Amino acid sequence: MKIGGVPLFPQQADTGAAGVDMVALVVCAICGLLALGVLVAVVYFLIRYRAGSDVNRDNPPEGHLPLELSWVGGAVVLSLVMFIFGARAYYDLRVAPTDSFEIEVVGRQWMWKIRHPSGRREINTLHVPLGTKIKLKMISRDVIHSFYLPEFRTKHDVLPGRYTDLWIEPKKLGRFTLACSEYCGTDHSRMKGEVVVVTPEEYESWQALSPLTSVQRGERLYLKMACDSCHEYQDGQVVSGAPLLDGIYGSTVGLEAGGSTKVDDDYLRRSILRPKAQVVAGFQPIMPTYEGRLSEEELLDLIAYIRSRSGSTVDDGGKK
Amino acid sequence: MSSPPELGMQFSDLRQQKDAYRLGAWVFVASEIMLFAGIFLVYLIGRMTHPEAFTEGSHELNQFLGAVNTAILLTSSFSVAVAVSKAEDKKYRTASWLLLLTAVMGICFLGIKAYEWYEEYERARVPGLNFTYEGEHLPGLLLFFWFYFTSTALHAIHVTIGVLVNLWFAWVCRYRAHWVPDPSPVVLSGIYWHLVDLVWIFLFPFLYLVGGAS
Amino acid sequence: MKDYLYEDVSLKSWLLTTDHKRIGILFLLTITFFFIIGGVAATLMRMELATAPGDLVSADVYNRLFTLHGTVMVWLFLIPSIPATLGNFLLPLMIGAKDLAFPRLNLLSWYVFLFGGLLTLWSIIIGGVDTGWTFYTPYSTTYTNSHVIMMAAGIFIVGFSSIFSGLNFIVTVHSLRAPEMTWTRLPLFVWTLYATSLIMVLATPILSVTLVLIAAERLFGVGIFDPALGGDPLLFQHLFWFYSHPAVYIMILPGMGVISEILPCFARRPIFGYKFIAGSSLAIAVFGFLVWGHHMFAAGQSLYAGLVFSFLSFLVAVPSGIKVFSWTATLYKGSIRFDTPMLYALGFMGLFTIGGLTGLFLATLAVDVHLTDTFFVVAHFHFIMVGGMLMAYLGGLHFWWPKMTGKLYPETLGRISAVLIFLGFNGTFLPQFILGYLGMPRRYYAYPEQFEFLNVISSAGAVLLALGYALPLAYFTWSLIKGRPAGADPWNAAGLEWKVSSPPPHHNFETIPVVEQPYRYPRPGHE
Repeated sequence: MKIGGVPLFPQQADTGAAGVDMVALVVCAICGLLALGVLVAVVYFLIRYRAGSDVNRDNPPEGHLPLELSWVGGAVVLSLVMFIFGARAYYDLRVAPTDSFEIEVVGRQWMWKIRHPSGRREINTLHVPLGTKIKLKMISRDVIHSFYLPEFRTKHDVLPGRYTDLWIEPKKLGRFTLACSEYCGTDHSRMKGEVVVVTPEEYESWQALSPLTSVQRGERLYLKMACDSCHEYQDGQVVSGAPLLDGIYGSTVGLEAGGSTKVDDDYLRRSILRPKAQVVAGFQPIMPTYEGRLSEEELLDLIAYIRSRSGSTVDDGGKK
Repeated sequence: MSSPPELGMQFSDLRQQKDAYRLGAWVFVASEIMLFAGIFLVYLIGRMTHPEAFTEGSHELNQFLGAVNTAILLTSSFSVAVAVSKAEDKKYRTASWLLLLTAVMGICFLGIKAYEWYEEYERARVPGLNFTYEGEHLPGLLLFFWFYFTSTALHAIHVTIGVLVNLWFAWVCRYRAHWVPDPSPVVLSGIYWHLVDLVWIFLFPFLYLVGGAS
Repeated sequence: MKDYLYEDVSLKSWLLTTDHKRIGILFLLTITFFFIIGGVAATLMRMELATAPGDLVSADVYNRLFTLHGTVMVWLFLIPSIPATLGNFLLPLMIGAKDLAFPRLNLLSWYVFLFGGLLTLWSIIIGGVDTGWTFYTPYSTTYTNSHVIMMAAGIFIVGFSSIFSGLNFIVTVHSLRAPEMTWTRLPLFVWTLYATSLIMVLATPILSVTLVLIAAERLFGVGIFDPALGGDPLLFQHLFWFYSHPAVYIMILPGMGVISEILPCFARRPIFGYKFIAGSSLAIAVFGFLVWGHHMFAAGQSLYAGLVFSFLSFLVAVPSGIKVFSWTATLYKGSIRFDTPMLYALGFMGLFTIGGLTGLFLATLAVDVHLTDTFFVVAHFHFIMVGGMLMAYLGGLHFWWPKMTGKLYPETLGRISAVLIFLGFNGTFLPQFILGYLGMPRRYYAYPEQFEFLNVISSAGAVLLALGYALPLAYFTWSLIKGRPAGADPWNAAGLEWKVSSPPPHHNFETIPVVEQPYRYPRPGHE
């Protein structure tokens, strides 16, 4: 449907989009009926009971308990219906499937930097293969942004200091909108780009044009920063009292300060930047802080490398 | 000096006026509690984010003087409570002495507090004035001392107002007892002083004791 | 005996007045001034958005315009609009009191408001703020170089005005009711003012704390919100919405109260479901404190928090539904007249219903993910704030203008303005629902070509809307000089405020008025 050449409904480019539109239609139908009911009743009363009309006005009711209770009950029931529809679809929208593959997004004023698993980078354009479950792992270098894909019916804020994620499964070839929807300063309205959905084969060959994967870059960085001087075995002994990284990702470790934590991306990030905040039980807080010494991209590389040492290629939140 | 409390034109009798004032005081207290609750909430979150810095910060405070101040305020709360009950029994002379005692304790509190601030100033711990720190807990410690100065200053302002109010009513009860045909204004100042005390009861452990014994 | 307007006409007597009626008028003048400023900003924004590219103003100016518009309209117009003007003027009259419980505090509230408002304006004059009225961190604390602290200080001060008024209203309702004015005889407008006051007193302090924290982070670099300093930007959003969502109810509840006064008067019958309407106001005030997280479904809060907040958000819609149904039933077996206030009230019912129901789209989790931060949200809250609160405010102003000034305004022009505003409003904001679903993000000063057509319609609607607002401004002013005398009760209305002369005498009531059941229509002996 179009008015003046303008579509009234956005395209559905994601397998989940139809589901979201379905929920919107359910809500629209319920609300439409309610609005129509009120409108018809009001107009009817206004005409019938206009001043001077010859109608029976005896004993106008000042209340009617069964009626009032029934519309309280009715409203609660309708609300629950809408809630359940919305919550179900939201769960599917938010919880990424474990078999999705991961693309990294770094937002900054005012552009989107994107990196694919092969290491290929692009700015303000996101190439994705058709029919594949893709998880976008996102972080911001400065203020809050929001990664918004209207044709995919999804968005999520991109926060500084913390990873958030979004997952999609493109079902249509073509070019679609990418926009920042959280106000982020002067050129907020120019912080946009496009999603290019291509066939998996095209995507593979496109991706192949890449110098290094993030795991490879992470390994180089790992050696360059001399992380291995503490976090490695030498003759079967841990060198200087730092936890071994093999297999640590996804496990639960006890903390020196008490309690325990799951080793996920955010924990690794914090432990690199501010190592003393959450020291693994049995170790001394001797690691220097790397705050300000690594860019967000380098952090992502390092984390990818550490993950690879536990045989994990995606951020599955430690669910193994 | 202002005129004696009399019946406002908006009230039909003294009882109504008294009820209105008392309710007003409680609504005010409720609003104040939300204010301090907000500060405490953010403080707790800050502490969860920077546990070590907050522990270090609280170790730098003078726990002994903090404890003395707590004792002073608790005692003053007791004296103001007795003052209110004496005023309700129309024993204005005793009430006056007790209010004066409360005010003096409030002044002692402020004096000790000021000395503590001076200590922290000497150690360069006042954000925006002379905060310098080179250690590893920088943002957290700065946050701790910002909370410390903001909340204790806000509290000190409340104490100062309370002291002035108590002095005023001490004077009224002593020399102008006929201005208080019923003790409701004294009750109001009592409610206020308890609020001041209550806030400190939260502030003291939050700020001074989080780190455990030093 | 002289009325409150002519008791003493010196400027000094106005500036030092403790008469709630005069303070109401002072607030009326002040917020009209701020409304015009906010309106000019809105006009400039709609002009910029009439074409797709950013061509009229620069991006930075546009960002300052929407911040100005939001801040001024929310804190300097909507929040004080009905409570501080109509509420101030009418609350004592309606409950049979001579004034509010604390008249001097009431005057202080106006001065504090004026001072805070002017400080806010000053922050705009010296260069403005570009964070949006929401001040999201870390943009507001670390990245912007605009005058955030000054504006935050202005709003911080205005907050005290809110607390003072709320405290005053709560105590007045409890303590100063005329002897026979029981809780179940209170006009529904008073009930809504009471519920509003509870929110003002309990939620505003949290805003104060939040604003102080922003200033502290800018000034001293304490790390509470900025992750670069170890803080959490989401904490700011939680604190901000803990105040600002209940604040939405500060902005709509009194409007619901006004409608509950107007409808029975022009339907000439008692209101339907008095107890449910009164109770639903309190329910909204209480539930309003529990739904702030629905602003953050796509912001990074946990899945389960999202589920809980969505569920509670649906529940908070139920009391609003009760009111709409009860108002509809109030028309049944009435004898309906279509005077200006009634037209505004009917407009309110239509627009508020749409605003409320579109709110359900946003409470629905999956749909909100798509719609949040788009024009759909902009349209939704304008339907509530402007279609709801502003329509109710104007309806109330038309209803009580004869009481406040003793003068009648030209009825035909009044009806034209009501229709004009209704049409202009729909023209402006209905297209924005579609724009939002199509995916046009808010706070965009330039946008893709495909959205231009709907934006042009929206801007055209805004022209009508502006005309609609200019009209009452003109004829209200005219009526002060040339308007016919209104008499004590031009609408033949129930309620104590109509029992005193217009304008009311200085101390409202000479003797304690006789209180009857509320909304005794049709009026015995008159019809």
